[in-house]
Amino acid sequence: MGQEAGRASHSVAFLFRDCYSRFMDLRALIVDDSLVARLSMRKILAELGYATEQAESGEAALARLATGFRPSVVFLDLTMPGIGGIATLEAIARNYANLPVIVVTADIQSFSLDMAKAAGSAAIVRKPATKDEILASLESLRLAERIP
Amino acid sequence: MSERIEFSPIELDALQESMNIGFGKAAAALSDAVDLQVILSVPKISVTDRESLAETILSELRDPRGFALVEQNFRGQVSGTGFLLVTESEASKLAGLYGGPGNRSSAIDSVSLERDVLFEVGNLLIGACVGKIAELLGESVSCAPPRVIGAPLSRALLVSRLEKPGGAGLVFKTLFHFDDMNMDGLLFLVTSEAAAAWIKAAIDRTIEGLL
Repeated sequence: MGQEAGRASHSVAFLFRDCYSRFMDLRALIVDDSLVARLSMRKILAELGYATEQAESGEAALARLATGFRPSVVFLDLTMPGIGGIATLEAIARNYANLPVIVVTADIQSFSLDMAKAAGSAAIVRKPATKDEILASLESLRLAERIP
Repeated sequence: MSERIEFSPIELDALQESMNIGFGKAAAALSDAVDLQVILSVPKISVTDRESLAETILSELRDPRGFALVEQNFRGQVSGTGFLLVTESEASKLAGLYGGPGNRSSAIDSVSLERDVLFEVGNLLIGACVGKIAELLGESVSCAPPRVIGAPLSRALLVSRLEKPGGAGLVFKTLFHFDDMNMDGLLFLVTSEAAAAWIKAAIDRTIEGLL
């Protein structure tokens, strides 16, 4: 009985989120050098009601933001060729202070996670990211009123 | 003679991402053990003939003098051999991270310590990396105990160790670097031809779910 109530509540929450996202125009920028990683994240975010754009490097992400594109949230890999994730994160924090960045990384060393926090990440999710983990990170941003 | 297995760019991308996650886990375990940050490079995946494997690998190393090699076999659907390759001087630096060689009392102690550290580091990196890649592909692997070969291991001996007759295997390759120590090494996994075919099928199932 309790489990059924929990499932029903979960379904209602997702139904509500789906309707809500249609009105709120939720958009995410996915930054990862791996196409498969971007497709995985796109699939999860689509299920959560997000429209997505993709960038295959930190440089491409910054160039896209410089055009005036403003996503609700950025999902950023750390280990990428070029300027890499930390420098990208620092540039976003410096130039777009209100834009929350969720770091999605395979580099789970405490040194690296501390660097990401210091550079301004709003949340950190370990790869391979699951839908529940992404949802939880978005909920934490929503509770902090950093995303609608 | 069997036909060489080809991987499409998106299949290689998926394998690279698997290696990235696998090595990320391995690096975190090593980083905790030695309290130093391990800088991860973007992994490279290739299909390489065993006959030319050594030259492909050696071209990646900064210092082409003496080597220390750890090799570890793994079995399961994802079967093959993992190798950790560091230069002789870097094997000594690794031993230093674990408390030597400053405390050593003789040359024999130094050699024993280096072998022991290489055994541990090789076991940690290869085991964690292979285990995670297999897990991502929905499988498990069993690893044999690692073997430490050298140091010093000459280039000719290394080539004879790596190059074997037979078909092409998948090579997962990652260069790692310890920040603040100016020290790096190479971790690579070589699968059998049969494992490469199985991996390709498993990766294709994953990709189908994304497109």
